[in-house]
Amino acid sequence: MKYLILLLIGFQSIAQDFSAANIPAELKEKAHAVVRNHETEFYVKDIGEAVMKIKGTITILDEKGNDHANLVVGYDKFTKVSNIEARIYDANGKQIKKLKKGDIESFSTSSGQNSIEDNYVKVASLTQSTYPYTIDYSYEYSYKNMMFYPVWEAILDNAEFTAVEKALLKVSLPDGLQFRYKEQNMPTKVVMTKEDDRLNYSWIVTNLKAIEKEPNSPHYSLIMPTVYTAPTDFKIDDYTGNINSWNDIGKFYGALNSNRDQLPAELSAKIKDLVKNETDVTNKVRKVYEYLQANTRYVSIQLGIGGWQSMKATEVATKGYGDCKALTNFTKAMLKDLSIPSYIALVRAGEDRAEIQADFPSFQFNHVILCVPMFKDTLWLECTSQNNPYGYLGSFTGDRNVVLVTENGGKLIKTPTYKHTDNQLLRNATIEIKDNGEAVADIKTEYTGLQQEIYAEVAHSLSNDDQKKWLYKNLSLPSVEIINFSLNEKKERLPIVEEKLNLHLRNIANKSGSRLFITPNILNQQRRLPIVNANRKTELELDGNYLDIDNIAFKIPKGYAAEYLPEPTKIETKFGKYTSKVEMKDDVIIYNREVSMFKGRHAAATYNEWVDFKKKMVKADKNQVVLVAKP
Amino acid sequence: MKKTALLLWLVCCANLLYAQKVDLPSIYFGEVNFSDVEMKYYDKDSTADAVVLYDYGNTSFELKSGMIYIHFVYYGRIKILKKSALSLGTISRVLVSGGYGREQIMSKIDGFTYNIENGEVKKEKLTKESIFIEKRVGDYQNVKITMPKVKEGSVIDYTYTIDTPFSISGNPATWTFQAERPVLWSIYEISIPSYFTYRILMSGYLDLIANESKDVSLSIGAFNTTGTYQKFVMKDAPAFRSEPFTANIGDYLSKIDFELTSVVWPTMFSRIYALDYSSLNRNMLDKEIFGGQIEKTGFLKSIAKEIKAKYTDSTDRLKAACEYIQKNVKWDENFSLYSNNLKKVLESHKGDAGDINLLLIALLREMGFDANPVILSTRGHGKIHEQYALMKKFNYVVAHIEKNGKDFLMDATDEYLKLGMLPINCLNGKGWLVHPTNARFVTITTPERDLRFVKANMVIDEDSELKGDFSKSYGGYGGWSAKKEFKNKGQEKYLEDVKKENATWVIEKADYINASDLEAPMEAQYQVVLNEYLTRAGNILYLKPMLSEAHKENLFKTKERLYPIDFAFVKDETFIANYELPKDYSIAEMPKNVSISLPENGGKFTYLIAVKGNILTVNSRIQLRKPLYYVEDYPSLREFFDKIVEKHNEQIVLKKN
Repeated sequence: MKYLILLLIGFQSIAQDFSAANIPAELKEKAHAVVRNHETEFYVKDIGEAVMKIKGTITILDEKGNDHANLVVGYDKFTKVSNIEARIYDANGKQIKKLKKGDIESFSTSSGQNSIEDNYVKVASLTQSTYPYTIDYSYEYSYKNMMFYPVWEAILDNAEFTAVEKALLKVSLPDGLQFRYKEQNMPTKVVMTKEDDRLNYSWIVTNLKAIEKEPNSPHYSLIMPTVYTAPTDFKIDDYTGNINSWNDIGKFYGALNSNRDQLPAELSAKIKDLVKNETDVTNKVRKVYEYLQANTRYVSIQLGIGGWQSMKATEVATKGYGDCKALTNFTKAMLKDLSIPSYIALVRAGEDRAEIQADFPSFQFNHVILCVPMFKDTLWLECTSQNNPYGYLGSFTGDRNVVLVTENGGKLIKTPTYKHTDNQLLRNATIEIKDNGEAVADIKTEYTGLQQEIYAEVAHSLSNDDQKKWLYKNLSLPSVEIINFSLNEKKERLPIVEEKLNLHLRNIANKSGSRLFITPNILNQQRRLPIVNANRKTELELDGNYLDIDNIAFKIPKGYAAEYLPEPTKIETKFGKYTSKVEMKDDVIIYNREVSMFKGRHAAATYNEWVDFKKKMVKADKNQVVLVAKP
Repeated sequence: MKKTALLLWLVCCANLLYAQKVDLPSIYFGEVNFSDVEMKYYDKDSTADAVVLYDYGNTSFELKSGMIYIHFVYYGRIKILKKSALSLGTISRVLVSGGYGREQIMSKIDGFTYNIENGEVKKEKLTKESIFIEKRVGDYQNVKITMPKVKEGSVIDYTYTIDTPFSISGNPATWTFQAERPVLWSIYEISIPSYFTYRILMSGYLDLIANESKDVSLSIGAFNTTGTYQKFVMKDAPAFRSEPFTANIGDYLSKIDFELTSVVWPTMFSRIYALDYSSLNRNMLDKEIFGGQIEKTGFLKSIAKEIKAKYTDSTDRLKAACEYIQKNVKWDENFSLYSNNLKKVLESHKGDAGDINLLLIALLREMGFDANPVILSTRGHGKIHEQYALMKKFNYVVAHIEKNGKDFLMDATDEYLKLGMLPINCLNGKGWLVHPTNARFVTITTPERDLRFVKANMVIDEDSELKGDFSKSYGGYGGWSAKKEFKNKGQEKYLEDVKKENATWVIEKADYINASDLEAPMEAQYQVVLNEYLTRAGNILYLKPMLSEAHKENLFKTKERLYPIDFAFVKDETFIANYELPKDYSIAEMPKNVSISLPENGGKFTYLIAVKGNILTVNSRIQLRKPLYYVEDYPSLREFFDKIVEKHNEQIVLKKN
């Protein structure tokens, strides 16, 4: 599914002063670039067409601000770019260069081997090596992609270290045409004016200081000053829509994709045959899902309206591939033939994506999944993956709002969340240390839920050789040789990967004279730390949600006695819990560590408490045991 | 593997080392063996997720509407064994599309996918709608072919032809015998009309099983002539895998290249493309964008004069010249050998490597030095070919003078390179000195090492704390990267990262010395309180004397190694710490001194510990004296690091009297 690419950069006012000398001092604080003026004008001609004019004047203060001097203008079948102009001025405002046509390159942004897209960008580099300098540019879109109105970020691209002297968004509509907007953390509100037979809505911000992004913050797109706009009535290709609610979004998507779910008769018969011995609906769905995974592959095809309209199920049946819409629709078609109702769900997928604006119905999605309502609960299917466990959404689409496309329109609902106990690392290891300090380790680790994703990915996307390489890279042990290993996936609703390692280790116990030193937490050490910040501004957002349990038994050579065993550690905070302890029984040292981390958002003021918690964990993880040879 | 064979390219000319009759498989497009579709795993590499069953290319020459084309027919058959190889179902080729006469034409695209259904092979044909063309940056397009019904177990058959006008390239595309997946059969045929002469260059570690050559009669357009037909066959090429610490893994890939040496079209046209270095040398000197540029140095007169007036010592003058270019022309991060106009480069204050270093040569010449260009290939670009002068193997230029009878190389692309130091990317074997009278190969060595020196003076506190000064100095390549990082991050961020890296440290004061001085090593000085390296148990204290500087993991994890280990430069790491023992404490146990060496003086590790009064001194030094180690050295190198890890993690036991 396509996102609207709005790479806003932008034009030319009368008698503008391009000298860098006039930038207010407070705007230069922490800034690598200052947006002197930026204007976005979205001029709606009618429900099917608009013109967007963008102009901007930006002073680049130093090398790190150069990103803003790269003009990147996206376009596709529905958006045409014209009149790209740019000039560059030196510190005194004297023009040093004018952009020539030949300086603009255009190319496809197609993202990879398995994607076929018609998105292009025009790119021009305006960077200079003497600072400061000012660029002044403008361009224009003719725009027929009216499902989307602009999302306007008051600070250009939500970039850090970028101050804004003045920025403006203007949406102009013919009288009688409606649109919707949402203001987010805007210092100023909309100003409406009437001009002839048009209504103009403007937002102006002035003197926004540069910000520096802080780690573990809420997604910046959710806290930066932004204006979201969206159409009410619109037209794209030959399809018209009217959006006032999530229900309408679902209706439009449903209409755009109606009658595309007929299967070829042969396949329909095959599917029926496939499940003929299954009485349970869950098992029928599982069979269908397994058929999908075994017989199709994901190829992203996003051409024109095909960005939102699915390939027909018959086509997927003959070609054996499709994008998310096509494969989901195909699965829905197979289930339909078994009289199992299912619904397509529009989702913004991705682990690090900001959640959608749930109170602002508009097209905010980049992916679709399939929802199969069952008697007791709901099954969710990710149809683009050849390996995903049946019914598991995970970090890609779990725990977020989606819009279900039903016969009666769209419905905003939430996908399953995974509790901290769903995402486990459960490890049991035996390490036998020999007289010469070498050791043999048998380690069994079970990863579940979100914690198993990376291991599952390694298990099915890498060859055996590469899996071994990956393990070598990720085992932070002094000197290790993998004698045997296995990664076994248990594809359940809450999937599990079982990792078995048989290792030969050297230098795991350090022998110095008559003593043997062992740091028992050899496999799961917290290492890096965030650093204390007395001026934390944003809330602390913790997205880790997991439980780690490590049990390690070290068999030590005969004849040693404990000279030093660390005290048990127990830390309890609202962010998480940590306990670790070491015991010695005969010739065995038993190490136990348990860590729970909770997802949550906390006040900015608690940030240093969290750092302190992490610091204590780091320290406890480095505790060592000292053994001394018995006399 | 023999040491000599490691770096030398296996070169075989048209006269053959041996020719051998080989039974080739009979493979027909569109007809597949049941056993191939049935295959569940590849017996020679059970871990493979796909295997190339057949990889066939055939090159010939054609004349169409007065233009010569290199006509390439490809045929490939791939077996998909696991889902992780499903992406092979999309075939992607990037072509030149520069308009009439400068356009590669891909045609005759055809393909089938075979699957087993109900115990029988089912064949799906590739349809036209599954062929897509995307425009790429510049004059390129990307043809993507999505094969139908590709799934685990499928066999894919596909074929296409590509016609490349001679104006785009007179050389047939490189044929690689190896790929990311194992290749069962790789067969390459080429028929070359006698009008064209090529030098054949083979490289890599694998042997051909057949290498045939015979004279044949050929026709090109309406011309009937003779020519040579050649065939190269490789069988069971294993999957090509990368290894860490290599300059360019592609140097080890088994492949074949053709280099045009002459075109002689009787009575019409004749041209020799000599592949010898003296011709290359002459060409480079004659080129306006190379030799031509460094002839015209007049525009640098005043700055040359200024530098000469300011400095009398020749080293100072060289330094000033490099510095002048570094400060006045910003490198745009691109490599190049050439420049269109040095004067404009200086005016615009930015340029690529060719612009900058040719400008440096011009300035040095204007100052009276006998400065000349050395052309080379960066590490990312692979090794140059010493037997044949292949221009495409070169992608970079640096400045050369003779200083006290020795080669002296300079580069001005980077403000943190001290005089005589080349960017790491340039440390790649040999370069060629382009010179009117004294042209020759120059070994690219660098006098600089990666030098790290850590010094700590600590007082051991009875409260299990260490207090004192900790300083880290970075010289040579270590200094180069540290200074760069420091400049990029700024002191605040740099220190922040040091704190993140050393989570338990309390840094009371931090100073950075010579962070922007090219000549001196950069020194980071910290006043610290450390509680991580000391553990207390009653009246015993355990000290980890290497502090944060202990090597904790062996760099070399895997037991096997296929290719040489290329560090690019020599390394030297020293750690010296003095510990003042607390009153009433004495040493109960401490590590033994050790000194180990790598064979052939390849490196040395010493670990010395001594007590004088109440001062304990620990001294560790690691020297890796070669920039490059051969595969034979790998086990000892791995053992060497094991010993370092062991020694570095030993502890000292202090006891209260």
